[in-house]
Amino acid sequence: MKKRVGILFSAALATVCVLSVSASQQANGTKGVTSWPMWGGSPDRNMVSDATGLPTSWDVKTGENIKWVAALGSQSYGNPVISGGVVLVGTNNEAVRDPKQPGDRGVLKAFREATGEFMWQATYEKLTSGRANDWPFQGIASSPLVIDNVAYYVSNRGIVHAVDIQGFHDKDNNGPKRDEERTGINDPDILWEFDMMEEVGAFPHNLANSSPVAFGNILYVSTGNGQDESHVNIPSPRAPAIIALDRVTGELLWEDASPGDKILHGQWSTPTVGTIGGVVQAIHGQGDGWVRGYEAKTGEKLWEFDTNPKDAVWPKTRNEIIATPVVVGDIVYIANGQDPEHGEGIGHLYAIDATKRGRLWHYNKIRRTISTAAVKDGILYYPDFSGFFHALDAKTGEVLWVHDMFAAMWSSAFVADGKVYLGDEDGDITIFQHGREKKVINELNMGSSVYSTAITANGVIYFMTRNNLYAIQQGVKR
Amino acid sequence: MVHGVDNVAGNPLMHKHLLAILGVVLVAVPVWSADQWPESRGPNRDGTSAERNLPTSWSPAGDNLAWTLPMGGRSAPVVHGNRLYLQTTTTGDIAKTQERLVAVDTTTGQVVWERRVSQYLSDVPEHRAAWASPAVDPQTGNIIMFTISAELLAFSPAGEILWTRSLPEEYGAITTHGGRTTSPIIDGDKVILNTLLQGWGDLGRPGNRYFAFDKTTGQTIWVSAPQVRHYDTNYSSPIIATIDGIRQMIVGGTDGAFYGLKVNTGERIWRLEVSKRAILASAVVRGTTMYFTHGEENMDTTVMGMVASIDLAGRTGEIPLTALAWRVQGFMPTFSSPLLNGNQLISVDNGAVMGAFDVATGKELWTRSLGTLQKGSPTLADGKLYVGTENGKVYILRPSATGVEVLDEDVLGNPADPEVIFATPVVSGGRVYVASMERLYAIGPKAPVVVPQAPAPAAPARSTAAPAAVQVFPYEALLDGGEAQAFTVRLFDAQGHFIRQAATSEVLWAVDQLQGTIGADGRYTAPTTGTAGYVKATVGGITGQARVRVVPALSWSIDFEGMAATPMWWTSNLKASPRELDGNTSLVRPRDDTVGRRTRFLMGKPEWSDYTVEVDVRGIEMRRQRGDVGIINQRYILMLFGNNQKLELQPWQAADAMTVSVSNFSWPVDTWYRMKLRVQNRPDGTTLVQGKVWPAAETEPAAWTIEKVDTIPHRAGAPGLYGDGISDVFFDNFKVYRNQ
Repeated sequence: MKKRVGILFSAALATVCVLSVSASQQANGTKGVTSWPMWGGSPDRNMVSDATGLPTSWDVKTGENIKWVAALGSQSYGNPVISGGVVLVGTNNEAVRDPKQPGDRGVLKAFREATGEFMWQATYEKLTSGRANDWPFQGIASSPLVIDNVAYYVSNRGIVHAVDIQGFHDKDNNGPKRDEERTGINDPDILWEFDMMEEVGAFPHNLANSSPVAFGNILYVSTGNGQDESHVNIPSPRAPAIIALDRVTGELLWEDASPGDKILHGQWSTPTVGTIGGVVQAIHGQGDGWVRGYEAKTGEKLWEFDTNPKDAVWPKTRNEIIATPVVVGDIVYIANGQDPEHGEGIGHLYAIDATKRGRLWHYNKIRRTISTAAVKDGILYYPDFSGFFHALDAKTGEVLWVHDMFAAMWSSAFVADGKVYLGDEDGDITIFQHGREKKVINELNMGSSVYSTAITANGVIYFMTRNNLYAIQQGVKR
Repeated sequence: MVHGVDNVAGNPLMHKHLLAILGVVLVAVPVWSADQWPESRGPNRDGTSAERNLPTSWSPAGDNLAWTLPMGGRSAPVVHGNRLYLQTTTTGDIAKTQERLVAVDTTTGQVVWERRVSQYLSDVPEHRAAWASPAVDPQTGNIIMFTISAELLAFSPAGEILWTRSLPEEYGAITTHGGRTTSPIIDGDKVILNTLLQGWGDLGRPGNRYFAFDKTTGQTIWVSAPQVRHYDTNYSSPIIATIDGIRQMIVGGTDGAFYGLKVNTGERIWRLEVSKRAILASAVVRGTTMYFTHGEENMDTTVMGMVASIDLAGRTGEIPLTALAWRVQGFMPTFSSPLLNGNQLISVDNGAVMGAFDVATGKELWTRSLGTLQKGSPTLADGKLYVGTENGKVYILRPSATGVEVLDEDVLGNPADPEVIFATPVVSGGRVYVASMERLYAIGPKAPVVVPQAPAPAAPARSTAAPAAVQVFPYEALLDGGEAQAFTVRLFDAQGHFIRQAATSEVLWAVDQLQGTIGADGRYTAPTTGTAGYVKATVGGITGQARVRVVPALSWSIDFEGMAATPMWWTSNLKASPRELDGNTSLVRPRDDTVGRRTRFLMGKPEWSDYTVEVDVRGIEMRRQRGDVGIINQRYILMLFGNNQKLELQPWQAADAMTVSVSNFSWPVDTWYRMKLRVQNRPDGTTLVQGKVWPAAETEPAAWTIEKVDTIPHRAGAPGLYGDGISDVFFDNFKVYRNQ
């Protein structure tokens, strides 16, 4: 009961809390210092951290500067988050922990931040409808949002889940939901669930993967609505692209289906919250290749921006949006690309002045990308799927430097401690000096593809490979 | 004499050298000829050619480039004699996209002929069409083409169609958006391939099946279903090897297992499960050892990908992973097939990293990054590796014990947005052929090296052992009501060797679940009504079967009253059932949250034309969703969309640009509507397709609602129904009749 009161209490103050936390992180230089509670670390999704004292060399073979390693499944796309001493990651079930929960599943795993010790896991069977909705072995690809010890994420079943990050380790079954089938120490303590396929008719294409974001007690989630297996039909054109839920009760607050049957493929871009022109907005890259801004409370559509040239043709030259929009001041940074399965091609990167003045600049030297921007000190870092890493002037779009990683990149660059950390498909991590001139500090290999983006908390930087999560800290040896 | 080697261009020393390396292989696998590339995996089905004096450098601008053509594609060409055959799509107007087989004179680079084939009832989109490579029969020069629609066609060297088989209409073949289509192989008298299907009877369960067709007539010899589950689609081209005296085809399944099947009968010899996902690459056999790779989930670790070897001598049944000679994990080649170079296994992973592994131990010898994305396989010939990457680069590499020397490296097309390469380079006549998605490049001398054709392999000796398998031929027959079909029986021994055709007197014939009669001479006579089942032949206590489907003559009028189940002579018959609705029996395609939600029911002959289909349809809403319904006539679909409230006429479902659409077509829930689709072949070679939809309670309107004159027409095809089980959809009063 104690916990439940706590949640209700926090809900009442949530609006104030989130805004002040967000603002203080930016202003006071505390982002990523003690926690990393969501994809991008803050609602603006900017991949920068205020952490210091981070290592620039480590060795996964010898254990140099490796604090701990947590074993994951065979593919892991749910980027880690840290809050309340708990690390959460999305992976698949190939490292079966409970023989009673066998086979291909989406898995959310919780580890203790201090030791990497396993705490609990939530597993979800694949949808029987198959890969059109739930692609094999992709696990959970949502990066949870943690607010006041509650984690919000989307499973491979297209369900939004709210769970207690302590699981049943706090010896309390927190509600509203209390009739969980499994209540062991390794099981999730579920608060509520919202099934987007049943409730709003969403038809997630290949995988629902949205990483939730919140403003006050309003939670924003992309439904993942998209094509069916025919790839020419949007079976559910009336289903929303984005929904807003009450994060305490899980009730639907508003929804918007602007892309309709114009969805090119799927919808894998995740929403962002930012204050633009003094208005708090939920900003979402949608399946028709447009970015849209919504008034956060009402869901009123404020603006929309097409990231494709008008003469672009899907799939050769017209792109979808998989990257997350990043908000810095009144500017939204976003690039487009395609499902990695579609290979390489031309891309487009924009700085959008979302006060309705439109495009600030357009950079067309980027290739298709699924990565998200990092903006620090007027420098914008953007990787692309063809292996090129672009550093631009954030104000003008002018190229500062480009680096060829010689491998595809799915992850985003991460700026912290005066350095830029970037991983690629060959498992290489390149560490650059943050700056207007290119300087490589070090190159390391993680032994397996790095599709994840780094995060920090308490002086530790984390990298996830396909099948391991590494906690990396200067001066330790495993 | 070992044939094939005598035809190798080059000096006699090379022959000795080749024999020393490949001696065992030559016993195991017949080598047709070193000058040809008759199939996707090459003359030996191992990604190598014995040719010499091949290019070490070239440039797309013209250096050492014999010719180039502005046509490319996903699949590699094949070469036979002085003909190159490329299976590709048409270019230009996307609304007129077809697959085409193009015959090119290798000397001049001129197109000699091309044959265009319209696609139908397929989820494969235009940009993934022409996925497979053709195959050339070395004996006749005939060309086999397998389209993304799962239609199989045989052409003469002059380009005449010899026969066709429509696997969607005959077997319920399903072709999915990913496009993966197997490249057929030709072995002896058989064309062998696999496809996903949801048919009828013992092929009713959705899954991957292997087929052998008679290469001369196209008749089915056997269908093999060794898999218990189907997971992904795939395109692992089979290879052929003789192990333990058994001629077997070795192929990667859609369930993550490799299989050894007796090539003459399709019977399973062994199974080796190595991955949780489908196998896409082909294996390689040297002696009795199989080398293989995959790039997906392993059975027992969280590390993906495998390079491994196993001695197949004496193996039968389920082979455990512990039987592997060695395995290496973490190297991930999902798409590219491996090859052997002396003591090295060479492969390219999905990220275009080439790796070499010691064939004796699996030890990684070296790696080399060639780009960021890889689909095609490397080719080894003349001591050089030829590789095209998805990044658009062509490499010529000289492998050694410690790495590769880059002899040549070229980007195809505009370096800022290069031509994507999926196809494997092909070696023939002193040249290397590379197909990008845009162009075909003939790299090498202006005049191709002419090499005499290999002699036909000797027919295998007949077995004198005891019969162990009874094969009824043809294995499947699709008959009109009242039609007769003669069956014969072939006997094979335990090793799958042909013994003889059974004498009429020794065969006991019977029908199973099938109406109609079969005589002592193996002649089956169909009833006039629809039926499906099996013809069984027993010889010496051993029984074999053939599948028979009988479709009644037009006209049909089916109101489903009194029907207990969907007729077995419909494909996908298990996906719908009769149900009471408002006091009548209708057919329901129920909400279906499983794979195969979108289902086609096909129930006539592929050669039918000039008829009309009518049916009542009705929808309901479940979880904000409404399913789509449609009728199929001569490969065209008239589709009523539930959620989208629109009407479409689709010549090729995935090809949007061909579709005629009426938006804002309202058809409320819980109301019967009548759909009608008429197709007429017109004397000018076009086809007129006309559809209408109206409330069933009202009089039929005179005007057609939707219409298309198709200039790349389907001239024949079976009737059918379409139901999308995103919610329940209902059918009633189904009629098919000759155009009036």
